[in-house]
Amino acid sequence: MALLTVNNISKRFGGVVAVNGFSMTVNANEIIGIIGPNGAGKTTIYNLISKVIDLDTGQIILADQEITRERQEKVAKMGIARTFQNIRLFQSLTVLDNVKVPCDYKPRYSFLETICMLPRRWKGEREIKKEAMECLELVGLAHLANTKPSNLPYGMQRRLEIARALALNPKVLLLDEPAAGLNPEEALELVDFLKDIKKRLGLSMILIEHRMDVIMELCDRIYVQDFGKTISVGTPAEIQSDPCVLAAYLGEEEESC
Amino acid sequence: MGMTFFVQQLINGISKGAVYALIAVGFALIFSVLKFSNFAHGGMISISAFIGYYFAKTLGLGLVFSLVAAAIGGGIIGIILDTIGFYNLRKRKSPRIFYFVSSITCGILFMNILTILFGTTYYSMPPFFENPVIKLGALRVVTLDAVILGTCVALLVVLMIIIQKTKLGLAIRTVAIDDTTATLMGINANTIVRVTFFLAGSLAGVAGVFLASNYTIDPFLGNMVVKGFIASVIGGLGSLPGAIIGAFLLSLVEVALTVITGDVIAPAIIFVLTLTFLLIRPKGIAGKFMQEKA
Amino acid sequence: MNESVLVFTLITVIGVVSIFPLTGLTGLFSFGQAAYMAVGAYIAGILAVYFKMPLIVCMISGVVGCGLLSVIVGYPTLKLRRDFFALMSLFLGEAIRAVLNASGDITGGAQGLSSIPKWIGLPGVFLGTAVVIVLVAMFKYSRFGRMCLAIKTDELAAKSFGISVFATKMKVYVFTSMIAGFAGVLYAFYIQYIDPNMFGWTTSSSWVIFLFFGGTVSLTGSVLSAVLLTMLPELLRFASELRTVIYCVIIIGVLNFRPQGLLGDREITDLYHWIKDKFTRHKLPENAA
Repeated sequence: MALLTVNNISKRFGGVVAVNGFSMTVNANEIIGIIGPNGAGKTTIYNLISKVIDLDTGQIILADQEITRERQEKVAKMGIARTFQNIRLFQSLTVLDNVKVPCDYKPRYSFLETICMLPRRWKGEREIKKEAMECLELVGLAHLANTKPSNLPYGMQRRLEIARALALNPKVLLLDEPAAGLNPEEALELVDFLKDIKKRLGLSMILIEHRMDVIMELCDRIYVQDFGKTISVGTPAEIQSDPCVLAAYLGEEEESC
Repeated sequence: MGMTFFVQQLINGISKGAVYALIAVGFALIFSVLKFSNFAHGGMISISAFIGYYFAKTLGLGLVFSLVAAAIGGGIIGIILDTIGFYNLRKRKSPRIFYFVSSITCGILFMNILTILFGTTYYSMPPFFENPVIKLGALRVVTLDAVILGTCVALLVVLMIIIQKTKLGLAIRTVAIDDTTATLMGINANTIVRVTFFLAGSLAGVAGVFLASNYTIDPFLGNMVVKGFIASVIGGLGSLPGAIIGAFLLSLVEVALTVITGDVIAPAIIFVLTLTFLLIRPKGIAGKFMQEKA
Repeated sequence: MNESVLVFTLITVIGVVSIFPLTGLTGLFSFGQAAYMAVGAYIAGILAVYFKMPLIVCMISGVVGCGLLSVIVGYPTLKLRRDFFALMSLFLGEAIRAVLNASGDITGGAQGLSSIPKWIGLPGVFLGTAVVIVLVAMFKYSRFGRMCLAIKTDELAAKSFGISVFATKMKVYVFTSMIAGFAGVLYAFYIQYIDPNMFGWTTSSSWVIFLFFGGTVSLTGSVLSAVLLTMLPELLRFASELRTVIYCVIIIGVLNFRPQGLLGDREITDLYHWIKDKFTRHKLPENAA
């Protein structure tokens, strides 16, 4: 039984069909890749799954519960976390506070308890700090807890984004081009890191990427998108030898796709 | 209450609407190019009203001169406003709320400087016409209203032509969509912004003179900008034709309410109506709402 | 120093601190906060003058009344875009003023409400200010404060981490309105006379100006700037319009040249940590040996 099932979702913006009947299954402990040329609708798929925008058609089921009609916040609480193509860290918060934010929605202590300084408040804050520091330690940024994100180099900001997403304790983690802007060495570190947290946290992940070295190393299965449609699905080996995929990337025409 | 009364009120409403339209369009112009609500527009209206007064009363130069002077003066004030209020914010790419605060502060600043210079006594514009009223059969049309309506319509048409049909207008529309890309295309975004402020200021200038002729002049005349804001909002923020429609709608509703319920309660009812409208259709009549994408 | 200057300064501090969570932390600009001050003042004042209720009842009623009103007003308006919310808050202020002016029988209309008993003196206002500052500080350093800052910075990202934006905004709005109401109650019982024109949008705007001057996210900054900008003109005896002009010039200067305000995001607790650091560093050579 799949962890996340996406059934025939579509989205149209005016005259442009961004996503045309996309279906996907993600099982427990799997890393799924979504690749395709720019403009193929990959980030739109993420926006649909995380309910940033509404679906035109289709269904999304997370761990047996239908989330098609749910709101963005609800879906996040139910276990879908994501990172963004353009880093969207909370620049006015410290590194640690950024990672605390996903812990905040839980009603560990109430408003009244906050302003009356009751014990549950202090206890709740300690818990949140502990959970946040754990996530920071996972990505190796614990020593920078009190700096501002804008002072971090690009690679570390990306890691912070991942730490923040992990703090939500998700069932499925959606990563949007996590290796963008990383040099080959950093990309290798990222691959090892993602493999590690998959093992440690039992997480399933979806990965949008352009870097073939990252995708082929990490993914159990890959969906290839072009112009909003899925042109191929398979293991890395299958995808690499698929003539349709090659045609899409090299721009040739292939009739049987 | 016969037909005459009804038509009279209608004309009254339309004439008011024309002035609101001027304010609303000036407001919408800035919103569409810079994406924020410029509350200093009211300050520009106040200052231009005084400029117009100076030309009309002190120099005794008549309506046309006063309008031109106020338009040019308003335009210059618009450029000054941009320089002290928004230029640095653009350079630093400050968050939107700063523009908001800056515009309100500049508006308050302008109006208080006027208070210091002129005190809080009311001034009134000298009468502009020998015949204050035109008689069309049983109807009596206030000359001023007719002139206002005519001038506003003419100005709005000219503005639309500029925006839609000239190179300058194209540049303005481009900067409104994306100023970085516009700069990459060779447009000096800063200059275009300045020009937009000049245009908006000129519109405020003309509106100021007309408002001053209908009401008395005091430094807080510019608070009329709120009507422009409401009109703009009803019509759809950023849409110039929408602002015009919104302005006329607003003025007709206002006139109707004043007749039905009297002056005191009207503002409260407008509050409730605007709120309801915004909840049902935040896009306004013609506005485009950009949905945020991740 | 004149006692009433000090009291007025403290009341202004409460006002600025009241909008700190709303405008500073959440980025919601409101012209109507002073209206809640009016509501609090009038409810408390009327209960005291006409119904001869004791101080505690008047105070609680004033604050709770503001809370209820803010729930009713907040529910539709917080769903709107920020510009619209600001516009509606302006209308709220004017609407409250119109209602107060019109209901002359109860409120005294434009003549105002007078002969309010003097139950609050300088110590009371001082205590009230201290309490309010602590409450807001507790709010800032909590999950609510963080959620507000997240909402201010990036609403969409905030939502993607499970934050209920509307619910959080409502909580802040009600909280801040009640504090503003509290300021009104204190004011009424000190000054003994209130009228509808004391609490207009210019007062609300001046609070926002003080907030920005001190540093939008710095509570210490807000307090300092409220104190500085209220007391200084009093001491130097500026006429009222010139004072407003100077406020505006200061803010325009800050926005243009130092947008983070006086203190940026530093708080007085940072000073404490800095001093502590200095002392521990001093001790180190001894221990190292």
